[in-house]
Amino acid sequence: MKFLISQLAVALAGFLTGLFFPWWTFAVAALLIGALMPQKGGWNFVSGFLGIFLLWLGLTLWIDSANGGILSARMAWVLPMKGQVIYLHLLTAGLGGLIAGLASQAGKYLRALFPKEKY
Amino acid sequence: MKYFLAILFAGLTAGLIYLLDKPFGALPPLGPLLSPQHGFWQNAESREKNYGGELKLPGLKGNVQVHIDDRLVPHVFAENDEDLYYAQGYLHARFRLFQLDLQTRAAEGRASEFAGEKALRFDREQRRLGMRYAAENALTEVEKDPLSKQIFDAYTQGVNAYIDNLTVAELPLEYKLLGVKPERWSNIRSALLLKMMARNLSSSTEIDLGMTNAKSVFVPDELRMLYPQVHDSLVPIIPKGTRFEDASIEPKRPESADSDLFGRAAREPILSTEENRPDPNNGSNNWVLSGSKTKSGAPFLCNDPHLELSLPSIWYEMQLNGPVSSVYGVTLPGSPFVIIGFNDSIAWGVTNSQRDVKDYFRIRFKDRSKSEYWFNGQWQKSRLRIEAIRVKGQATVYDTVAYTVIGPVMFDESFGDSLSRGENLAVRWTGHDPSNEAMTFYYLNRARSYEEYESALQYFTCPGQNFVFASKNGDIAIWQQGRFPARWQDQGLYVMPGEDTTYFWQGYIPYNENPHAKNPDQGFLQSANQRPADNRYPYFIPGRYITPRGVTIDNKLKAMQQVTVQDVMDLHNDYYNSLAADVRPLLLNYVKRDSLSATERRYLELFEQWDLLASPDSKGQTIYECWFDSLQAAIWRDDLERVKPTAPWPEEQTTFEWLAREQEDMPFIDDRNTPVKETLSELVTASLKMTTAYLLPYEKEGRLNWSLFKEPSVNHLLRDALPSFARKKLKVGGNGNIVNAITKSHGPSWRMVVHLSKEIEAYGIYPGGQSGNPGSRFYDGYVDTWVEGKYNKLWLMRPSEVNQSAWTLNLKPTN
Repeated sequence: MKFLISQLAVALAGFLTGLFFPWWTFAVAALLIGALMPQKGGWNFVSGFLGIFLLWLGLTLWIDSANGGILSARMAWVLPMKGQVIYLHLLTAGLGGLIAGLASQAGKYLRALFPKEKY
Repeated sequence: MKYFLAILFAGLTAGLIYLLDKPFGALPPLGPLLSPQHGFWQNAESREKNYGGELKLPGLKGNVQVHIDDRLVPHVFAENDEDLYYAQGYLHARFRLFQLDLQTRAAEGRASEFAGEKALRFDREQRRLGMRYAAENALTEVEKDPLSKQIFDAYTQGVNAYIDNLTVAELPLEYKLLGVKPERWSNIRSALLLKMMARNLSSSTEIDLGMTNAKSVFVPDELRMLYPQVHDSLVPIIPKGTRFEDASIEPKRPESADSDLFGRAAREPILSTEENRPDPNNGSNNWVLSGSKTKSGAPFLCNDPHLELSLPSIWYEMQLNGPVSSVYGVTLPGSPFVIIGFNDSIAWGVTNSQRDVKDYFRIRFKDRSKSEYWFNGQWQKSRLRIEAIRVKGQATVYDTVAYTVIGPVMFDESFGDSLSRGENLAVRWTGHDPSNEAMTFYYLNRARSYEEYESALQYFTCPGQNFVFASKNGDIAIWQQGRFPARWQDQGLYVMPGEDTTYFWQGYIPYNENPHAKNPDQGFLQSANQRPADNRYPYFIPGRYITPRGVTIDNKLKAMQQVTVQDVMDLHNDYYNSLAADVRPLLLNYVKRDSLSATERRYLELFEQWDLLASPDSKGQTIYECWFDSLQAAIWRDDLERVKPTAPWPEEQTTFEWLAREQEDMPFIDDRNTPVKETLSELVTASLKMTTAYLLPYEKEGRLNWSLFKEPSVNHLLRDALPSFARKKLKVGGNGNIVNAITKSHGPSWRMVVHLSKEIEAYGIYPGGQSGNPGSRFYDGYVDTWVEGKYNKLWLMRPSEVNQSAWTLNLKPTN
């Protein structure tokens, strides 16, 4: 449950930061969510990764289909992909996911540095 | 451990972001490029995108309605002229911002800011030619006139209104790929754009440096034969037999001219060369038919300017509807006004005059500081202009250009040849003179009659253009307009002494003595970059004229009666090779059939049976081009090789006419490099053999068809950097000498047909699309239509028709 909520939170926060702030700010959001919702082992990485991976993949597929694939076909030659549009989607979502996953995991570890103060 | 993991993951995150925010080898920064909400995905426009809406813009005076039709052509309706041109600037920026920015930076010699070091030589040439100086002089003139200042200011405000509200996500794709930012607009940039057109059309119409070199080997008589002023087959723009008034200016040939230009000392070759010369095919066709030639009884006006074909196109279609005028046509992004088009009374079009308006003078500097030069018997101070060229990815490069009374010293020891012998060449170019060409378009956009057209032309100085005209009331006319020096015989063909005013231009041909014609008996007028007039024209007018297209068009138009819209469209798309028609009998006559192999004979047969059309599937056209090219090389190469560094090649037309006149007695046939004396027959046969050997591999690949052989394409503005943004291997024929003048990536950049009937009927097409965004369905949509030789109907929208537009964009002033 926590995994799913965390994943959704990263996606939502990633989308909102993307609307207003520079491209990399979703990483800050993912880091904060990792700190607020720490999970066991590497699960913060997974939820962060999937949160942005799925968000970005959804966005690019949606944009691409509305565009009729005009631009992705051209860009898949500008980047060395020999016209394979699917790699363009996977590269975009994969890089976003990787950053978000690392940030989310970093958030969890950073929080651990500051245990709740006790009397 | 806790610390280690926290630092490791935080570090990995930050490090990855840092890396993705930087260029990666030749690739742009991937993070901002790929982000779906910032990067290139944001340039992928929805096919259902709504181009309408409402915007509040600072500086507008009233409301402007932009009715956009389903081809994305904006029809702008404004209550006053300032708002009209404000909206034009806004729309140019919205749909063509990168083009505006790149073209004007390149004009100024700032291409290196985008392209890095490889553009440095280009930038230095632009600056040494004084492009910015030319634009500054033009701007002074523009701002002197309150009317033109007001319009340029409004246009600039419109462009900036768009730039100032641009978000990162909306940035045109090319900026994201190059990692650069747009620069705000100013009036000087519009002036720079117009000067770039002037350079493209009037700075390669001279071959002075090459001709000077040719003098080192050839005697004056030979020079006249190699580079003749008037071709035998010339059909001039002004119908033959037209009487010209005597020249009102008679320039005096300096007494020392013969020794100064042709004496021993003057025969030193010039080692400097201009590397980035505009395409010599920058030409065009236009013609007008009077009602007597047409089926409807109303005149026709047709135009197709031949320029570099690019995506986005140099042209952008618009209708501009102001308080008193309504005009439709193509505009140049970066400049206000419609440049080629029509209103509900008249239509106009342009072709290039090809006249030589640029000369070089030798300058002697006192020392290497270039701060003083010898002139009129004393040392004069030169003005040193220090050019700082910013280069992407490296330090700024500085270049000093000396300005003399003549103009900028384009070539000196810091630029040009590496073995400098103090060869300093100053440029005198009419493009540097103060002028306000834009006002010609302001008045043409509003003209209602021949008189208003004629009066509009007075503002046009450079580049010299053939303005063709037709009106609803039945007039047809043509004027070759521009500021042309009145030259004595041979003046300006070669580099001239610049130590005093002896060799200066002594005056300009008065405008009313420029070649012109109105309502001729033949019922039509045409121009296709040929010499404007025959030998009866009383001035010496050198230039880089192109003869064959004018011959074809004249023949076709003469034969036509009861002309319809379809007839003139067919002429735009005509593939008839009239030079080949003349050359073929000659080749067939001299080729030695018995010495040919079976394959060579097969090629000869293909050529013999060819229908003389340069159509896309033609094999004969491919063979002809290669054969005649090799023959030209066989005749000239050994002779021209004697000229160091290079001499211009005689034109195809010249070679043909010489052969036609003198046949095997033509001098230069013998190859100097062999002991035996070659005959014409041997050269013709050998060049067919070479052609066959050259073309066989193409044929094996199935590429003997003309369009497969030459692979015409329309490239993106950044050319080879973005091949997937181009349209390549188009199935079109044609060539520079053919009416449908498509070469590899050059040709009819806009075809327009206007039928000046009661209700004006007009058609047009350019190989591109209204949007400069490679992610838009409007980016290259017209290319296929253009390839098929078809047209879009041009809609001069009336106020009562605005509800038929696809989208409406309301522009309102901010309070």
